[in-house]
Amino acid sequence: MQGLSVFEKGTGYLEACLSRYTGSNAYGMLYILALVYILVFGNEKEKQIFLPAGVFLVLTVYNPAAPVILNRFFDVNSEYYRLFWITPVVILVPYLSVKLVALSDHRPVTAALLSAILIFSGSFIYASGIPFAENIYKMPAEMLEVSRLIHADAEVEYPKVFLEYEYNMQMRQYDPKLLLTVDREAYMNAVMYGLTEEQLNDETHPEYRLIAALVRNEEIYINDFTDALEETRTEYIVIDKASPMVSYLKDAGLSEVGSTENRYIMKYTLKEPYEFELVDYSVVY
Amino acid sequence: MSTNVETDMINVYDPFTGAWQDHFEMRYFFATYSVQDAVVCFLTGISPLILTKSVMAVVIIILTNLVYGLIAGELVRTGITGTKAAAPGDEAPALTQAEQKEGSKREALLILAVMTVIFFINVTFNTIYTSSVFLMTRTYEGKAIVGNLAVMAVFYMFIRMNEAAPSAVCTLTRPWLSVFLICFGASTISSTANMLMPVELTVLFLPLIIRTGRYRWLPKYVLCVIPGLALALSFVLYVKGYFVFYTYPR
Repeated sequence: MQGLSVFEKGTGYLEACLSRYTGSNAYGMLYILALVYILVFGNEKEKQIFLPAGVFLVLTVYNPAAPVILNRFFDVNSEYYRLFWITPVVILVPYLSVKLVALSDHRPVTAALLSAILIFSGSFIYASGIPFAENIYKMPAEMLEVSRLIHADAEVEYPKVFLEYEYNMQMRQYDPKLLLTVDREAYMNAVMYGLTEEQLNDETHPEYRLIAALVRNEEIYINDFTDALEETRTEYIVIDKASPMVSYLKDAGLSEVGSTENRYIMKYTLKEPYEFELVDYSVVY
Repeated sequence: MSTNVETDMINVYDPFTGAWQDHFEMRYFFATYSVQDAVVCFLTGISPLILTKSVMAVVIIILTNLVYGLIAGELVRTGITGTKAAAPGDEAPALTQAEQKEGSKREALLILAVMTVIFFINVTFNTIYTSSVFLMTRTYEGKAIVGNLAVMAVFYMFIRMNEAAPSAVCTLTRPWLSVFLICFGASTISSTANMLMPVELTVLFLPLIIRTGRYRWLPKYVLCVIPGLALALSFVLYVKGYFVFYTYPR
């Protein structure tokens, strides 16, 4: 889970993780209540199916010591919550709800009560409206337009581009012919935790200077910025029209070669053109 | 996946930047779901995004709901209609044809009701971390398949084997082979399965083995756990620098 560390939290990690996992939903609590019901009123088979697994889950996955122990062997900081997927909440709660209604003498009342409990226990995933896809690729239409404009201007088959965070995560799914300046992990870390002085001065990662200037709006000398563009072979920068860095880019010598509804596509002319080619493995194999 | 289709290579280029890699990234080396999709794209000419976000998403939703239906059927017969609640050895009561037909109809409606509530929970168990959200909004990812389809499939096998366990002879056809294929298959879809499947197998089957005394199932349980652990171990060894697979002959 982003922002949670087993090393920092220790045995408190599980509670923090679980709290974020369930959010404002009450299904975890309903699952526990369902287990209690099975314990008291369930038949033999139901107890065999749900109770031993429930007990084992408490001893293992939901044991506060478990992430601490596991983290010694594997890095579970960002993935421990996936173990919660083993808990059959999605199976037990619906099954028991239907059972209670089916076996009730007052089915309409029981059904209405359980429906109300379920409705108030969760939060509808489309509460803010169903996001209909803008195109068949289910990608932002503006991103497709950005891709088209860059290729229309580029003189090479694989131009390199610096994109804002959201498009950086998605662009290559649609258009693998666009090379990206910044790796996903580096971008995420820079956005979440910022960049240190050491990283900014790191000659092996000039892209950090680009992120610092364009994403975190930090002061980077224009010469250092253009040097970073040269070293990373970045020709295009896509920037929000509302960004305060637009004039900075123009001062750095970039020119606007296209625009969409919300974004400018700025071009930097590299001192030496960069032509990316796919490796020809036929000479090897 | 798009990178694999564009370059006509498997995992040689970084999918996030497009840069050539001199060695394979072990985190994704065994996660072949995207590779499988890339092969289908290559053979059919379908765009990668259309295949993964439209075609495969529908396939996964259908498969997951089929498994939900199987589980719902078993549970309904166990706890509501009572056809499976009888202790082993008991004779089932004789029913007329009309009663059987009525019973089947009721069972089908109950299964449908359970699946409806399952769907409702899947659209309301809404934080960015739950398997429900992955199923409904990120179906194209390998971990959504593991967290919903594979986990539920193993749970279904557990229910069937729990029923068959007390009998002297297990009436299921090679259930452990099915469990092994699910676990091995899940590990080759996403690296999430490397920890998820061994833990799920332990949580479900160890108590079953201990409770029923079927200790000869232990080697089979271990065999099912091995794929996930082996792949997890290989990643740990790679991170610690014990080995690397280069993308070119050295």
